[in-house]
Amino acid sequence: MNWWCAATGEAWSWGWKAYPGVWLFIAALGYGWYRSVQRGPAPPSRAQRAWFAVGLFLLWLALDWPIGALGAGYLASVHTVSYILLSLVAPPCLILGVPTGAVLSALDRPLLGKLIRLAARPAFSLAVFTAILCLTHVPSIVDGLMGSQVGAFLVDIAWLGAGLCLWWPVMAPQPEVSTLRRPLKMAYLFASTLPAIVPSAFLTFAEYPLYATYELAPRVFSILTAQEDQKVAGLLMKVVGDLPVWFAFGVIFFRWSRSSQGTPPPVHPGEMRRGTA
Amino acid sequence: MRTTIRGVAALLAVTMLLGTACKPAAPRTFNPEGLAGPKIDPPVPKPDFILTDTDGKPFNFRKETEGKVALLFFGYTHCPDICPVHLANIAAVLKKLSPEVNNAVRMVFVTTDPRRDTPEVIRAYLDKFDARFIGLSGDSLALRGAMRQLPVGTPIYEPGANDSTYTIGHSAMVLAFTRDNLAHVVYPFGIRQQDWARDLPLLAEQ
Repeated sequence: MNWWCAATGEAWSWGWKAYPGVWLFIAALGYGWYRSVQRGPAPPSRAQRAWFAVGLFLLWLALDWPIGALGAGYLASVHTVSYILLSLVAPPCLILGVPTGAVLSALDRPLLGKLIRLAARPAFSLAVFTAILCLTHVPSIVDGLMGSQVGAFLVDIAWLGAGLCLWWPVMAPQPEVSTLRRPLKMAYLFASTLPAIVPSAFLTFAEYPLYATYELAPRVFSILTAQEDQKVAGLLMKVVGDLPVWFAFGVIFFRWSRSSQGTPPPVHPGEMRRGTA
Repeated sequence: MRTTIRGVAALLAVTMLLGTACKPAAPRTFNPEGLAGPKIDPPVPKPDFILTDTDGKPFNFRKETEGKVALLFFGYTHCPDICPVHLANIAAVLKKLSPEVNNAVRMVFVTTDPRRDTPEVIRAYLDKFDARFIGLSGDSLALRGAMRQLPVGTPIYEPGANDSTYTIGHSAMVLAFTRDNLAHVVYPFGIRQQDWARDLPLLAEQ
């Protein structure tokens, strides 16, 4: 039995497979959240619990069978779906699920506090996100890592870490951790859509399949060639991958325009802990 | 004196050019260096076998592929992993290569599973990749006779959950016979489209 989804070279089967490492990872995150909110000054609201649960569910969806298994060893397009879930969709949900009190109490810890403040710097977070995004799409790195469970695990964790970094400057408690104002948040979000242009262009326009992992994988759908699968992956990365960012951009813009008109914006679970921005 | 030397040199050059143009091209020595496929030493002679093509007609492999680059692969249509990848990769690359290369290459798929792979089944299977691919079948004896001439081993029957879901272990190599009727290189599983795209024009030039 495998503990994490990795490329095996075996023919794909629609029969369910267990990946206990994924369950342990999700359980560990849930337990970590539970412990941190217990230590915090106030219990999490119902909305925060719901957001964290949604975040964990999305992580599980991205990492477990079938998406995790298909993405790790069979289809580049599904690998991109995993990337979108792990880096762009699940992290904001997880962040929304952490009460401000828990974040503020974590600031007191020397190493964690430093990391939380560092990740709130847009330049740092964008650099980390860009570096991880680009490195984890380099063919030799993908082919080198996806064949082993440890390698595939590292890629998944790197994507989750990159996503948390990406979203933190926009969603961190204000003004205690982040001081980014709304126009700058929008500029930051716009900038965060740019790095994906490079890997998605390579995926979409490459003359031949870039990754041996997916080119030589047993076919899942006979109608989808390795090249077409790669093109779909490239398009998904840019078109679908940008949607969560543009959604957040729209929400911030809407609130900013409402606040500048003097109308108080509606309270959103994500902004319950924020001051004015 | 100088004019005489120039005149002789020009005459020599013209003679050489004309000589090169009029003489039939000498067969070049095959140089497999730089190809992605591993070299076989000594090269494997092109086998001499007659099997049945997907139209039900006899197909003399040696005769029908004379003067062409023949890519020979033994597999079966129910193969879950190697066969579809090899065939899809070769088909994808041929679509991108020049008509000259396409005209010079013949892809020949020989079944290792004559029980399930009827000519119709093979045709329908190959058409999913490239309608020009040649599919061959025959009785077990004829197939074994063809395989015995090549370093492809003997297919191994691996029983499945029921009588119709068995698999067959077979060689994952594509043998590439060039115009000299020899296979100097083979293409094992792991060869990628980029490799085919580089090698097929070189093989076609030989």
